[in-house]
Amino acid sequence: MTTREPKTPTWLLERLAQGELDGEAAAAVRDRLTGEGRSLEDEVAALERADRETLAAHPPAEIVAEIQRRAAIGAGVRSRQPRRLVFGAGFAMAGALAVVLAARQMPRRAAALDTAPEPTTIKGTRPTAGSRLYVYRHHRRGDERLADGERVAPGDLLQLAYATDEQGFGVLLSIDGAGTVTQHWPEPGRPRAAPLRPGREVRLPSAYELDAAPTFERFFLVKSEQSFDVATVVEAARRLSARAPEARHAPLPLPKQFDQISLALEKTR
Amino acid sequence: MALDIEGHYRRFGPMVLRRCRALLRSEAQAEDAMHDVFVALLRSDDRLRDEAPAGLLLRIATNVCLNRLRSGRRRPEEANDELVWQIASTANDGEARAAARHLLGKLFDADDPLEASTATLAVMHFSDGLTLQETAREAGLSVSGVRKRLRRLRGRLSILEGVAHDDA
Repeated sequence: MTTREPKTPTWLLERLAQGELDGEAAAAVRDRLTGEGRSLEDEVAALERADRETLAAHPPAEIVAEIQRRAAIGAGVRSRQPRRLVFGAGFAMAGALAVVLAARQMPRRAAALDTAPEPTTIKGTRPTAGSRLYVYRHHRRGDERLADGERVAPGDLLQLAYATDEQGFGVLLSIDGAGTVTQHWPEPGRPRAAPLRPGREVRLPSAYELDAAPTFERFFLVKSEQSFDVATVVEAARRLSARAPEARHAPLPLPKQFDQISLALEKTR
Repeated sequence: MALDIEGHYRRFGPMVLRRCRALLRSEAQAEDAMHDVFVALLRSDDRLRDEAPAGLLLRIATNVCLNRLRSGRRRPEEANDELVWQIASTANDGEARAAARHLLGKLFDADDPLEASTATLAVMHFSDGLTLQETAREAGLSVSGVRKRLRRLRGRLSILEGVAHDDA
């Protein structure tokens, strides 16, 4: 058996349609198409039709604006800096829970106030000083920063990001209502926590599409001054995710040297 | 001269979106990835070689999509998607990151989107159906170089066991 595409590679057809193949390569593609009972002219015409439809559905002005916006963010040219929240060493769990409750009472308002982002939830064995976890929901016209308690739906495309003032190492993962643990960063398969980049907000390399797991999706940023094994955190997440309903609000069962931040989203169907 | 990003999108955007759709099998993910492909192009403006833009954009799109598949958790349902997913999952991170350090730096911490990673070469050859010669030409590499890199990757791809390839 072979999994190779039996037809003329679309890759070559696209390049031929753009006039990028030399005469010999173009003739070879034409011959292959003919051998398959297809016509080069028909194939190119179909691509041109598809091009027109795509441009109508995705107008250049909108797309280019979004490309430039993303490029500017990546270059550190954000027009709005997130409000920095610095918790002193004495900021204990009681205060942290107050933040959680406030966020849960006003999720919609928080989402609407893009110029004054809500703080992320602070939970865990130690308060984190100057570290933040962000979750954005992608829309065609831009990204919406989500607050703790916000409602999301299967198929929503989420972008995760963090910001920190401190050196150290981190892991970003999530647990869901089905008890699944998903490692977002560093990439799955990497055994050690990734170095944090202090300074501006850092977005993860890829977006994350929500599946149909029920009730909630909860994201954790776990950090430590020293490098550590990702498996330690994944195992803690597995233990917590198996304990409903604590999984929705309790900290990960981790030793004291770890700091952790979490943000929970409510799932709708 | 600054890159005419709107002109590039008008001419190549639909092609890039088709490529992302074919690899990601998700309209939302494909649209999102398409934006990132052009962001990569925009950021690489100062180091673009005199290269055919459609071929370059197809390669960038493949890299961007493989990065997404590698960090995602959805397994594909179709056999060819399974192949692409396995290639993405078993890509040699060390190799790709070493290349990234020497070239673009990083796009959202990702591998260099302009260069053809071994995973990208594997998708072009095993999934898209390009011959070794075509893969080498598209990637700007020698045939022997492509063969060598694919041989290393093949050992890590269980799905390719028993697949007859007289040229790999």
